Amino acid sequence: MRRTWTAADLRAPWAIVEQEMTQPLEPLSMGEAQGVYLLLRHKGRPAGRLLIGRSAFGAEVPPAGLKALVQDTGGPMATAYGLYDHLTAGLAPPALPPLTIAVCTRNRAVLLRRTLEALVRLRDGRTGDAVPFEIMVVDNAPPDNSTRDAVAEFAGVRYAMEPVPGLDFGRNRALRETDRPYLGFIDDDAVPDHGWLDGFAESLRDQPAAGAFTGPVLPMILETEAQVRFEAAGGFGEGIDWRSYRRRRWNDPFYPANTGRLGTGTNMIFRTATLRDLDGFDEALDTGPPLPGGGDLDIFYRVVRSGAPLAYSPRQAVRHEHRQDMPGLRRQFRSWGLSMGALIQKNARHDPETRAAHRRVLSWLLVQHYGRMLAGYPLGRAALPPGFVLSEISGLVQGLFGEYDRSLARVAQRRKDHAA
Amino acid sequence: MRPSAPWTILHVDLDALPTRLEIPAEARGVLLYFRMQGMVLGLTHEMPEAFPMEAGDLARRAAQAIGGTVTLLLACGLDPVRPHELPDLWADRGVPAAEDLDRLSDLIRARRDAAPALTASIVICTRRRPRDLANCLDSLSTEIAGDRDIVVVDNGPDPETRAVVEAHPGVRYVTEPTPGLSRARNAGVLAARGDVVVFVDDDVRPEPGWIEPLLGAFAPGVDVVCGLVLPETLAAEAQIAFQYDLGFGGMGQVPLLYDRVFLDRSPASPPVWDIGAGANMAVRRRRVLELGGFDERIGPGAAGGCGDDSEYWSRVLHAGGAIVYEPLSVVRHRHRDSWDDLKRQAYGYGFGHIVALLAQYGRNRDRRDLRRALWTMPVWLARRGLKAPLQRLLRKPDRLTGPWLRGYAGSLAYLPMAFRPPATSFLPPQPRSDDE
Repeated sequence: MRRTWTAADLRAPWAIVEQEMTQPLEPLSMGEAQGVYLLLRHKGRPAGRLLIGRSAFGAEVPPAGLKALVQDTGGPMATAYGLYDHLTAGLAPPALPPLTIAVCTRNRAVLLRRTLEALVRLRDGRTGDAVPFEIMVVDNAPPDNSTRDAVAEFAGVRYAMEPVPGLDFGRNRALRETDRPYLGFIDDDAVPDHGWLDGFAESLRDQPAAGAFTGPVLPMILETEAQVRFEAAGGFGEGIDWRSYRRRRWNDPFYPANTGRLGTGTNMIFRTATLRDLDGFDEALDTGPPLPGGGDLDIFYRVVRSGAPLAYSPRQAVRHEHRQDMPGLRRQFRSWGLSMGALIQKNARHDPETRAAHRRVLSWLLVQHYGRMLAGYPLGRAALPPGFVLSEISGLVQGLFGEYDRSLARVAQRRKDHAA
Repeated sequence: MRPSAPWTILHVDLDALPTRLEIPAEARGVLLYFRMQGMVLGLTHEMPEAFPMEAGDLARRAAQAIGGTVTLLLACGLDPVRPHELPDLWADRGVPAAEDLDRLSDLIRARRDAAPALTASIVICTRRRPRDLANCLDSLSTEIAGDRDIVVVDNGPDPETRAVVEAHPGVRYVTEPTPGLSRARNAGVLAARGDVVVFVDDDVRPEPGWIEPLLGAFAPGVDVVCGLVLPETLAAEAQIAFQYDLGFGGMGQVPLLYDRVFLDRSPASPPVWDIGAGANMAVRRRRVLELGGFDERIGPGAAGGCGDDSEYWSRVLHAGGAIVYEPLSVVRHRHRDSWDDLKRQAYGYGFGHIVALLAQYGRNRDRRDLRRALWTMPVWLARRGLKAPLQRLLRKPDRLTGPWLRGYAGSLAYLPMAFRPPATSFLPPQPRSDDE
């Protein structure tokens, strides 16, 4: 497919423009923006994304110049939505089950307010639900009262506190607190897309046995270079199409070791009973440095390996504010390498059946994935500087060599400290 | 890595989605065909874990599997398209709306219900497979009851086959004692009375209503119509290999038109063998007589393997005729379920394909055919042969390259066929026919 941006376009800011596929294509006017992130929708549901760089298309893009690209990108999913609507016309309409949405946060009251505003608006705007969904904030090892005070500003938002620091301690607190059959999570730097819960309810109707429900993470704003580069590198990387994951997958030699594609922690909803059966999240992950990630991929992995399906719907989308600064983004990449390494070690140990798949993923990463990213840089095709790739590789190596065990020991100590 | 046998095949009617789709407990892989008014719009492979599958989940998979085909079918209005026109058709496409599926459904029904202007004879060529033949004739009960002219050509011939035919009153029995599928086809064409001869293999079960779309596609100038062949079962490893490794699975869902343009546009030997399969083919009888019948030097039973059908298609195209691939016509083929049979088949394909190319060159002097027979195919086979030890190391043994290579080697004995003028006709002299 045609490249729609060049390295020269990867500067801030980019505009985010939405285009409804059922409406005529609007001309794009970039103004000050270096490029446009074009989010294609079909009757409100995400159908595709296009990164239109200024250097490739100019500041003014007439509809004729975009038509074929839009068709190729959004056409397949828009068609699928249309056919799906037709095929499901006779089915019972999706219904939202009793549900808790938890926001795990720590000392980020400004961000939290934006997420809570969006959640409250979503909750109060919904009609026809048997029970409105519950919003719960889990305050993780709070240094002050700022989070509690922020929560108090919103009516009907529940506050829970988890004293042991660590994101997965917070998530497990939510799991202990909720009495609803479904439990969802969204991060404090994200807001739900308007169809988030409709997408979830639809997935639940279509796959009532599913243990986990997720969807894409779309950018909220692209105001800094780090955000633009992250999105140009593929963003969170999950596709805009329906997927269903189970214990095994057709013709995928990497499955289930390629957990990165399953979903992201800022957009996940679970059957509460499934989480409880799996003893919740692994508290040795997402501990903050030195192992700041991995809890989301780990739980997705364990859900699908337990035999419960994971339903992925593009309609269940959230909008996420990516890291704003390049050093922060670089740390993020290192953290992904670390958690991948730690998870490869953990899964190969507990789930020997998948060792071959894990080996294949590892060699694919090192040879093809990183190799291609590094080789693309001098050609002006890579969105991220080589340092990011090297950071991720160094994280991966550290993760592979015992980081999970070290984290287990640290977390045991942390629990002991708080019990005392 | 596809799952091991047995697989189960399910045909899902999109006009009436089941609320819950179940599979047999022993299935290790599932092949779903999505069908509307009988037409296959798409397919998907699933692991057994995905079942039982709810209607909504099924709808999601179907919507993703059929989108491209639905778009193309709406764009061409079910009229056959020349293969090279597909990219343009694709570029001009719109995004189908929900109600377009109703429109497509109506289009398919209209095409299926159109009364054919031509009369048809069904010809079944068989050789010492009375059980297969009995199954095949059983699946033709509607046609038998409807007084269709049905001819069984016994290429054995043997009393068991005769007994099977006699158990089906109304079916005519003809013998062709000299072995050779082309010979048997020619005997069938001579015995047939209809404008069109519809060939049905003895290991094939036509779906009800497969014949009308074949007849309906005979527009003026069209001399051959091929239909879709689906696997009946994929219960054995050999059947799965037959479907996926021997290239039986590549038949499309969009009606296609092959004519002179197809010959002229192809840089290499025009891939006539991709047009369809002899297992579901109808030919204009008058044209077969004019063109001298099927080439009795090639095909199963004579030289061996395959190629009796595609060589005739090549001749039709070179003579200015057109061929239509009409996927609305569906038959199900019972693939051989033993490795020995599969290897024999691979040998036959490797062999017959080259012999057909040599015969084509002998007739049409199209250098591209010779080039494929003497350069492209050996290079391709050599590559496969060289890769075989590596594949064995990777525990993905390539069991078909051996038979293929042997087939190629054997076929070279037929090299003189390329340089000897062919017989003008394999049929006895005909009185001038005045049909049409």
